[in-house]
Amino acid sequence: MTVSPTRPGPGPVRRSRARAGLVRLATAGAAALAVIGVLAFGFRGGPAPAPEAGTPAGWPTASVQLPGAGTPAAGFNPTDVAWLQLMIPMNERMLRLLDLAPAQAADPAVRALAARIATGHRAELTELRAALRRSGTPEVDVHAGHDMPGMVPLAELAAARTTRGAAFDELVRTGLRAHLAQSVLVARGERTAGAEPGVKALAAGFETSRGAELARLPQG
Amino acid sequence: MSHALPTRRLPARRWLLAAGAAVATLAGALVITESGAGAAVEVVSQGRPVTASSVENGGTAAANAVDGNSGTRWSSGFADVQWLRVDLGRSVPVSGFRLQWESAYASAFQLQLSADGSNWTSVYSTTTATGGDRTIPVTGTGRYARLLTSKRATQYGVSLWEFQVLSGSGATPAPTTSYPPATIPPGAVRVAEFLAECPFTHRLPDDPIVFPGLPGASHMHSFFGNETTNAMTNLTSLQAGQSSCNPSIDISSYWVPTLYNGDTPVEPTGTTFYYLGEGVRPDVTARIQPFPLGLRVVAGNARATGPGDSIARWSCLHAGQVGSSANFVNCPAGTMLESYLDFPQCWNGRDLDSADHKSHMAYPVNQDCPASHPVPVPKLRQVLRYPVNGDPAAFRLASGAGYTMHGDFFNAWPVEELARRVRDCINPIVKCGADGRP
Repeated sequence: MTVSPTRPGPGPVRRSRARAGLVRLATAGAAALAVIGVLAFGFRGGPAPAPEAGTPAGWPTASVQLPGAGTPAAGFNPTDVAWLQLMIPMNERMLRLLDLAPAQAADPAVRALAARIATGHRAELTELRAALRRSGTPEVDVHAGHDMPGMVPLAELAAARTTRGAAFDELVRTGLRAHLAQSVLVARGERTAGAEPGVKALAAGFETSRGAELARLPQG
Repeated sequence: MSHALPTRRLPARRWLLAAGAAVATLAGALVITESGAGAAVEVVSQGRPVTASSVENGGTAAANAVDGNSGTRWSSGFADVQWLRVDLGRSVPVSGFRLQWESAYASAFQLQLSADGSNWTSVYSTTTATGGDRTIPVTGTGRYARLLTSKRATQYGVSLWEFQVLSGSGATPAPTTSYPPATIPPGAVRVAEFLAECPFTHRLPDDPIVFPGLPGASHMHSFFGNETTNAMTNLTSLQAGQSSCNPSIDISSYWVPTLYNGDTPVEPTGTTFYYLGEGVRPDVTARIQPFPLGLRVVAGNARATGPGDSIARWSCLHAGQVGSSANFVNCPAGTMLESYLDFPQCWNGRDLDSADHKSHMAYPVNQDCPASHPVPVPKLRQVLRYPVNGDPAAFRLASGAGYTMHGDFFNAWPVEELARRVRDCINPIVKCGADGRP
């Protein structure tokens, strides 16, 4: 990411010109304004919440700049970037469940299924990350901690750690159905609205392979 | 070159206007005193059509140099040769120019007049200018007036708070005001505000900011304002759409995660989007600029994992005693659950969006916009009222718990309409309604 020189805003020169004699008056006025502000909101029947002090967590401030400003590299459009930014955490989330299968699944077919899909997902993650790098987008998980549609909910994942046998097998099948169906849906979106040929090809592959896996799963 | 009186007069007056909010008679007296100074000279360039060789970004349009607001500025691209041209509308005898330079001034420039906009006569030329606030007497006549710079004083471009073409005789030009006091109507409520009331339009699992082009990729959203918003939305599609808003000229799109009571979606019946000048010092309010066309802003935190991660607030309409909370509150019977959310109000002056959809915007620090995000824009406050109350145990948002409340804004206001409202309501601190008038 290149950063253009930041243009300074109006300097302190312009701000320091209020004559000393006016400062008191201005302060009094500001206090009066605050009162008027409260009254104005009172008319609407709903008090405005007290202004939050400082910068909310996760927001850029003067000294802390999150990565990610700017536009994608040539050839990529926002759909390409959004799809890559979504598929990376979707694959990672699914892997967290699949990786429990060798120790916790009862049905050998579920163990085999989990192993096959986990291997494929790891290989895909390498491709997804490479494509995101090519797009010039820093890898920041814009969905971290969030249960996106199709993801195994974090609460369910926590419960899965202590679930074994047939109940665990069912968690895997249910989780995979939702994950694969959502993957097919968003892969279709990328194939339709994306721009970069490599990313679109990746999505087309996902649409086919995940559609096939979904068809092989017993319907829940 | 004098850098003294005329410049000082201006911010002092702005302070007074702000301070005078509660002291209308005092402010009125001072306005009369100050505006008596230079009635003999007329500013013939204010609000006239203007063009420039370049602009630095969407927040530094050429029109800012002739808007009568010395809190907004034109700045050029980062090169020596630049020009700013004003069409005065008719042939005018020109007696002088007033240039209020920002710190990025031109050290060499000419002032020119023309009858036809293509053949220019220089009426003033310098190679040793030092910026500041200068009034330069000239003699000439023309329909078009032009500033032509040939050397800049800094690594940046050239930038003017105001560029005034003066006509008529008299020693002192009329002082520039950040807002003409005459247009603040008597009895105006001195709160910097206008609003749009935008009822619910539709629900879709789409998000054109976070998942552009990916229908169904998102949790369920409830949309307000523009009726066409979906995953494929862009500025062009919004501009072809109709709006539920009052005023209907606001074709922007607003959306939030859908609220569910059990499995039943609940849509807000009060849907007000306030555009405010608060949250920064009055002198910063005076230089708030309109949102650039096509700007995308998100506020709140869809990924919040606890109340401490959220700035969104839930409270009860008509039951202030319940107080506000980051999570849902239990509203008494007969009242409504309401949500408040303030959007970031400082723009980096460059990007309409960013990869994380946040980095191009920031919240103020110590009542001013930080150097990384130097352009103050209106503070958008989203206030939604839901027709539900009682035990919130069955309430959830499509994004999760109450503290995952967030809001998205895609600006599609016609540029002139938004600029007028910022100029008439926000900058001078006047409370306006949905029509953008006091």
